[in-house]
Amino acid sequence: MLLTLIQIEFMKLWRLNAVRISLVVMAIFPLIWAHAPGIIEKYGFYVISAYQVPGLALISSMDFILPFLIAIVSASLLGSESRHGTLPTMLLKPITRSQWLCSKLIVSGLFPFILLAFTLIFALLVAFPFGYGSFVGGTGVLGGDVVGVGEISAGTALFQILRAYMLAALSLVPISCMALLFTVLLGTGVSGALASVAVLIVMYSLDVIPWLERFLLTSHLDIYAQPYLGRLGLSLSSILLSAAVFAVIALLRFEKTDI
Amino acid sequence: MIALKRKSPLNTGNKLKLPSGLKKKTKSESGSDVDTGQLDAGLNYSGSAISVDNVSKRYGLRPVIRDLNIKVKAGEVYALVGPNGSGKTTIIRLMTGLAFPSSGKVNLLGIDPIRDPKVKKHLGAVVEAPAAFYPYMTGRQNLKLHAKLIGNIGKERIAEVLDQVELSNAAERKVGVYSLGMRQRLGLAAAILAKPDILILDEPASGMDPLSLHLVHKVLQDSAKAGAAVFISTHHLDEVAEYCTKVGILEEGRLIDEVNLSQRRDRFRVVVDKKPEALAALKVLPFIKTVISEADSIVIDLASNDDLAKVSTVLSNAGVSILELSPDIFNLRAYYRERMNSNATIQTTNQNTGQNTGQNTSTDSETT
Repeated sequence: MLLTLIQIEFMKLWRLNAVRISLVVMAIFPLIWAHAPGIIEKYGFYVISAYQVPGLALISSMDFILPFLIAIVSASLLGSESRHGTLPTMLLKPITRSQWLCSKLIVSGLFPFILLAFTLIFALLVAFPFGYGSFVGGTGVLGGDVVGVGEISAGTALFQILRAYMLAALSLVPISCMALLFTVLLGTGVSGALASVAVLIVMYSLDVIPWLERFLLTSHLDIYAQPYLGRLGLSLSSILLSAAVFAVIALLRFEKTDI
Repeated sequence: MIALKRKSPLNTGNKLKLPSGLKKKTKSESGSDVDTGQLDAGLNYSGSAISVDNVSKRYGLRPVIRDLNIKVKAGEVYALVGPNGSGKTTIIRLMTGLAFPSSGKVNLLGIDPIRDPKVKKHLGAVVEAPAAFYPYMTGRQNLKLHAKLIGNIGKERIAEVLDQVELSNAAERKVGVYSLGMRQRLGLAAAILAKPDILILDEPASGMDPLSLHLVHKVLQDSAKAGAAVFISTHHLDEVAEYCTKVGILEEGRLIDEVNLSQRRDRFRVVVDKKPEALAALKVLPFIKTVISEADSIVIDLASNDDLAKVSTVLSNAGVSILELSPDIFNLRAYYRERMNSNATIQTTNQNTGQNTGQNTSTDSETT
């Protein structure tokens, strides 16, 4: 049954305006980095490889727009049911509330991977004029910035980009779980999205408190650029733990909510 | 034992597949417990397909439903009537497991729908008016989605229910462009998709034109005839009075009255030339349950409508001429108005004398 529900949730996902807007927005970043004429004047470097475009697109979107898009899409996934009034209709079927919310959690948790996979493929496609060979410089996502530390092979560059995109998507999963939790608590998608965005903005500001920093979701959003395995492990455990905590609270709360 | 009366894709024969934990255990030859996996449905609920026992619901400190008891048996149509805000929709949400009772219990086929949602395989319900569907999908696609979640429902059955609610021509249109009445009919189609043993509908006739209204009532009657327990909330008193088995009158979360309409349908009014002789002759007949003498007529309550012919024979033998014999039509609308007014008077009196009005004043109107 869970598989059927996941299948249905994916079908609904593509109908969400928030998803369509996210795809358009995430297509803009690679286009800018691949074709904007003023990069040298503003940033002081030239884009010389197709592998730099997805790297730069990721760096420029991870700090701000991507977490917000993920929060809004996740909140919409549950919120659209309230808006259309279909939440009771679905729960009248022989499925448990946990199964139903689990399918939402799984699909919204997979959405960062889908969105970033789309961004990566689109970025590599629009960056074809720069070529896919080895180059002197860096991908921007793992040490050395775009200037790099010498020549980098095509394989290494692609590996760095894939690794960065996977880790970035993973770091966004707790945000999608948090947005679903807020939507469960507040009852509507708009409230859920608003609360999630507000919490993210507050978290960005709270990183000035050193002891609190490691507990903030926003502190782990740069995990994709983390070259040291030790710190990577800590961040990964923190990400997975917070995602699990948000998901469990959402499930427990949803089990006891009057529809 | 009350067994489910009909076959459905989910209910084959008289066996109801029980959710885990509720399966009957029998002793094997070796004496150990054996899980039979299937069990007669009748063994698991005592007569009522829908059973609401002492249910109360509070939102914060505000009581919405107060100590409610409702039973609906297979084949019955129960209509809940009451003013807006009296708690009809809350009761339906409690019955379908969407809301949690503050106290008391709700059982469908003897199973708590919150504890074990698998029992909802046997439930068809619409809890909102108009029924809610995904507006970007067509009517047929929405029903396919419902069928997928219920399981074991083919394309033919979807086409059949669309035809039944006269939506075959609009099946490929997106629900977003459906009228209120069309949505209601699609809701009905979704509810009867699995030929459920229990049908619970919140204001199924809301927003319908007279023709569609007739269609809805026909579907409800057919479902009851096929053995389903039907529960509806409605404001259409005249229509429901024609075929409902029972009507519950709800006010401020309390069931203030319950009228057994099926018994009322066996009542006849006789006007005769010799009333005392007629009364004497009728009172001794075994197939007449009640004889009520009124100012200018006699009201008789027959055990069955088939016995009507015998009445004229008996009266004729007693030398009584029948001047008029007609069904004693129960005016639900008038009764409802009267009941609501009398309840309002009782409440005002109690408030003036400082008495508690929280008690259930439900009575069996058969004796009134």
